[in-house]
Amino acid sequence: MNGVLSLASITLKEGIRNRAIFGIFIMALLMFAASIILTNLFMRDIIKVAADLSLATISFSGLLMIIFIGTNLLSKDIDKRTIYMVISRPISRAEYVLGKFGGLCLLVLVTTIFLGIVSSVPVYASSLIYHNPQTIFVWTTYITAIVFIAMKLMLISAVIIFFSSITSTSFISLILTVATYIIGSTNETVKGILDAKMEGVHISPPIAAIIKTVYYVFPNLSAFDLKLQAAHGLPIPAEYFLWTPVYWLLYTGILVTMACLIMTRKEFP
Amino acid sequence: MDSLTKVFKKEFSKKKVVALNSLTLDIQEGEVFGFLGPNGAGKSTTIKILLNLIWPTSGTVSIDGKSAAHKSVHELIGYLPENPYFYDHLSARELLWFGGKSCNLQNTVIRDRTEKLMQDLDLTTAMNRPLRSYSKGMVQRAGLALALIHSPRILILDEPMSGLDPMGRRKVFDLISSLKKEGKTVFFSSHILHDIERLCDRAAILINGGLKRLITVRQDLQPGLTLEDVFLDEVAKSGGIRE
Amino acid sequence: MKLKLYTVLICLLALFIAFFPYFEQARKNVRQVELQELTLPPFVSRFLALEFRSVASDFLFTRVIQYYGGKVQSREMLTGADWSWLYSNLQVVTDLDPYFEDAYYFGNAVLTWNGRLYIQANRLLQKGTDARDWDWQFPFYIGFNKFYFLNDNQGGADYFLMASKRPGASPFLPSLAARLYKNEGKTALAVSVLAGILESERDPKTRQSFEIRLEALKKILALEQAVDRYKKMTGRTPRDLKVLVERGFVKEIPTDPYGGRFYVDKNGSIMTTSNLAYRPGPQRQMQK
Repeated sequence: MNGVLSLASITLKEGIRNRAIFGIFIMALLMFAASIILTNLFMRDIIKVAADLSLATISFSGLLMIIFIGTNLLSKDIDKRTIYMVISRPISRAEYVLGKFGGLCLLVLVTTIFLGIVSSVPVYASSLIYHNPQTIFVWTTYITAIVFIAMKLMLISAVIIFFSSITSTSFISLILTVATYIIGSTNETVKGILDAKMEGVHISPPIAAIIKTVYYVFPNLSAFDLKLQAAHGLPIPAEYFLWTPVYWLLYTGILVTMACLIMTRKEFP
Repeated sequence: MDSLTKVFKKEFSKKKVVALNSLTLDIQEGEVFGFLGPNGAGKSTTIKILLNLIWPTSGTVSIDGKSAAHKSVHELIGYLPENPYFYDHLSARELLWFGGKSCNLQNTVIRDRTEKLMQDLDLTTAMNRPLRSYSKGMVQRAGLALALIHSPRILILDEPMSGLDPMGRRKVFDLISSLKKEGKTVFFSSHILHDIERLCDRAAILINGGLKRLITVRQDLQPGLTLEDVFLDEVAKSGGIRE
Repeated sequence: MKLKLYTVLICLLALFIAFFPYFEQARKNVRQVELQELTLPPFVSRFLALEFRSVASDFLFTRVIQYYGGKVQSREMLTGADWSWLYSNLQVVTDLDPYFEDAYYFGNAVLTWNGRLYIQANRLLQKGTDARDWDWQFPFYIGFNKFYFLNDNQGGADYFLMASKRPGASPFLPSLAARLYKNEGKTALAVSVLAGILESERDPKTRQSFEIRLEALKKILALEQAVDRYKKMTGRTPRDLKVLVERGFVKEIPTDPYGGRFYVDKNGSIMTTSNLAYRPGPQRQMQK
């Protein structure tokens, strides 16, 4: 366990010291500033717009960060031969995967918390400007939305780790991760179309089978998107807080375990 | 009783290159063992198999009675690779913290040992700077510190003198001598015959993947026979070096 | 080691398959308005927007407002095609975010008074009514549109009642509904409605537009009452408003704050050339 934790710790440091992070942070700050300006274009639903933009910024920045830093994580180790200094310690290959994944997760948590705090500024500012009695904004829902964004980013980190264990080329794992992100964001909507059985929309059986398979196999990322709920202060049923984290834990666990298994077969000449 | 037994044969499937051919070796506890051979003889391959970085096509490796494949064995081993590469955003202090923590050492122990090792290896001023700012000699010394932070009983060093200036080489030389006095087992590979002559108890000559000769330095070399003579003799007998 | 990992993997997979249906059910119960009318274009935009649909709805809405405001600024008439564009884009905006208050509010304001697309306005508002089921304003607007523009007093009353049941609803709604059920004259009702809205509206710009409308409706009401007195007296509808002034039923013909001219049609109803909406041209600009 110490091996995993110490590796996670230095991976976190590596992420924070990466220069790309500065660029992404600056971009996020600019987007927050822009949201304060943009809210002036709207009439009553100002908080909704500020919350929308803030959450979208956190999600987008986080996504950029883990894709650029995460996809290089494992391949850099092999290319630069830095993996020797880890594997020569009493750290098994599985623990190596866990340590790297843990480091990515810590990076996600640190940046989401930081961006979350910064993002509350434009949201709070907009709540002071004009308060429409019909608008509902609840801070706990907003924070919940941020927590779920963090969960989603950690799930995508598991996807990255998984693809990185299969291919040693960082570019391929980048493409695969982006594809998974796009599929994961839309598969629930597409399955919804399938289930709705609308008139005039004919879906042939093989396509329907593919849609269903994609829905089950690829992660359901829209489950972690609570932006509408946060922007309008909508309530979230209690059972949601049980089953979505369960899904998240199991899906992430499966991916990481598979990555561990793949790595145990790898040699480092 | 420390015995490393290696019986293995390793082949690269694509080119059918036999990197090592039925190598059998037994290393005793407390001895300084030299691994000798021309480039491409299979020295690094052997060491990597010892460290479970690659696996033998056939044969077994055991360290202190345990299979080399078990990660706990690494608590006993300190490894310095040829041309060591580290996460260069780390400072030497952070590197050693990682090395110690992964071997389950307490933070206080790590701190004390870090101080001492940095002093011994002349890295105290650079201790908190990232490794990417170090010169090659400093990186090598940091690597040695990493190999020693957990006070391992066995040291495995792959070409420890390579690329060092005379001061660096002297330092490593002294280090290996003092380790020997502490009763540690040292296994290192080199193609600098002079070093092996001076430091090792025993040495093995490896050519083209096969063990050609096992020498006990004090005995075999006393009657005015230098290691160089023995080595070149073996090379000639093997019919040249495989490229 | 590998054996341990395989066991873990199989356990996780088994749990995953076991718990997935619960996760699916929880997803369905989360508050989302599933759109009954999923015509293709909104679906495509929803699909393409990935997780950023609410932000996309914001940006699309600003485009809609800018387009409309631009036309008003340059004093151009909006064509039928323009109105179609506005309507379908507002539909997309509200498909992406069914809770977007501003979009419904703006859509209803321009589609009714300016675009005269009352049925489309109501269709849009219906989405808002369904989604924002704590909000009394949208069924209220539907009710207003129904009775005032579509002459459907029953429908209007039904919606006013629906609105009155939602939290924070204006207290005069039930009595308004009652008056509608009794088919009272719509101008008087409209005046009551607007007076009630003005009580609760706080935004100065919105208040101003409501005040102007209320002023116009009060003037129309006065004229209508004058026409009624004329009819009682003479048994006929007046040929034009000048007659009312000459005969002393009304002191003078009031000016239409929207820049048009009041006149009486052959059924005796009071109309105005402006239709209570600002015409593009050399007149006062409409404020938001």
